[in-house]
Amino acid sequence: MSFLGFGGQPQLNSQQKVSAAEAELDLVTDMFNKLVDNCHKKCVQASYNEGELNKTESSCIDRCVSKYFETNVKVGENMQKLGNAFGNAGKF
Amino acid sequence: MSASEIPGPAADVTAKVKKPGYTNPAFKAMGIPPLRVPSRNWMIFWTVLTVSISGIVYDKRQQKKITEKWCKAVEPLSRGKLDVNEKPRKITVFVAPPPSDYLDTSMTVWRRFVKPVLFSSGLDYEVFTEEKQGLIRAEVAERIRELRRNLLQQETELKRLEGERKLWSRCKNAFSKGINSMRATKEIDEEQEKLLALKFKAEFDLKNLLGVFLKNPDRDLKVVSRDALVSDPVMAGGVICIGRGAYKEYINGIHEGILGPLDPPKKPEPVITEVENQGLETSETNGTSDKDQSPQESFVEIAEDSTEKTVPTNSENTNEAPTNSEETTEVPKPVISPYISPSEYGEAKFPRELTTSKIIRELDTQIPAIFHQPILVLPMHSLSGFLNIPERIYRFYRKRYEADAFCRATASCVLQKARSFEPTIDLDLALAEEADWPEKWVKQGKEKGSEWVSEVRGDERVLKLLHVFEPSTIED
Repeated sequence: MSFLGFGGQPQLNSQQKVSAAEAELDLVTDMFNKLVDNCHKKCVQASYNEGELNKTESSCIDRCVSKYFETNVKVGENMQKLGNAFGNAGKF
Repeated sequence: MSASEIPGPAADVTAKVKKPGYTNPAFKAMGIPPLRVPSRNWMIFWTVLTVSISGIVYDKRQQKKITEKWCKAVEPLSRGKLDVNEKPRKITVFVAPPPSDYLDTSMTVWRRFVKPVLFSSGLDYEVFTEEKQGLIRAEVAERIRELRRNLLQQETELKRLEGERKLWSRCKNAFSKGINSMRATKEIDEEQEKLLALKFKAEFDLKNLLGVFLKNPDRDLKVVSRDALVSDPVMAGGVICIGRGAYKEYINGIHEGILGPLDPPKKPEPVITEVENQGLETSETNGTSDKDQSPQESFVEIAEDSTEKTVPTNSENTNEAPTNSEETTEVPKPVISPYISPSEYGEAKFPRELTTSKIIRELDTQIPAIFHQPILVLPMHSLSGFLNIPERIYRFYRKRYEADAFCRATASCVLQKARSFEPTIDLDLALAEEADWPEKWVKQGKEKGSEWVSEVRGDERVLKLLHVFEPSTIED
């Protein structure tokens, strides 16, 4: 559907599509939560002088999020490659 | 080491005798034991060693302290608020390597002295490096040309829409559409499905699902850059050029982008024409491309390994605009030659699309165009050569003063102490760096007509738009 753009998807019936969508939503929510946790730990200062984020924190969060996404995507790709390699090896 | 007297009743002939050491009645009276000191040669050795090492250590400590001091001085700026949909002020940094030297030399200056100050102040920055000559100029010119094309397109779009509103064209369109829109139902169904699919894909946004975004009133806020909100373009963004070569290229790039044509000039004929720059692309591996039979265009490489340098000869009058731009390290990609040569600046027309308003802004982000942003030039002093070694050692021990100059200049950029460009003096910014350039390199460059060694030439119409950061206004 939208996020995981695999080529050549097998045809799923509607039940499977719904569960695939649910799984994807879980994945994305999980990633989002982890992202927020990590970047909060790294970037938001503990002094809490004022409610708004200052420039340092904002820039830090921007950079943290982009790094997180990139890493996530790269790790996903590598895992997929590993998975394929295992799959191919298993055929022999 | 204690005396190597062999303990025993008989004194060995080969035993070493301790020298008595220096003493005088005053010392004796005070109870100070006889002072013993190593031999003259050892003394020389230890003195030289400690002096040289302590000089280095002191210098490095001071460099660190100076950088920290300037970072702290600038830090209060980073504590300002930044809304969730705002982006901070962005500085464009152009880095060029010194002649016949590595890019790393310039990047060290950037990393140690300029970047910490920019970071502590909460500014955003974008670095553009180059390893060959001319890439900064090409990049800057391309950005300005892109801006001009977008402005022109916007104008034509507006005109077209204006025209469509008129009644006569409306009738015409309705009639022609009516005739063309007779199509088979199957076609229409297919198209409808495609459109629906596209619509679904476009509208499927995870922001509609995730809990944080679901009922958030701020969800659809547009991202806006602080640079776009500033009324005076002098206060928006900034350009830092590291090295005089980069500055020259930057100025050249600005002129080329503004005064030059939007399309590349035609391919050159085999005749050597000194006035016009033909749209030749020279690769760095061969000095002249196949199409160009004249040695007109070649590049001066600043690559460390290549002893031969190819220089882009855009006629003898190539101005070296000291602008730094970064280049991506795509070695095989040839540098685009200029679309206009400096001798043609006077005849070129100032583009109409850039006169529509006083402040030209990028269309999508509304940030003022790059030539409105003030420039800071950092001289990259870098001597090379065997005979220069004493001078280099002297400079090595005094790096802290350089560090202070760099950090101070960056602080002036951060604190936005700008003034308008003065063509008489500002084209010579960082001129002192040229005294360091190796003579042979300069001679080679002159023969090939390189940008960097030629004189910077600017056009009054363009130069009066520019601004410059003034480091001397910063005290402390």
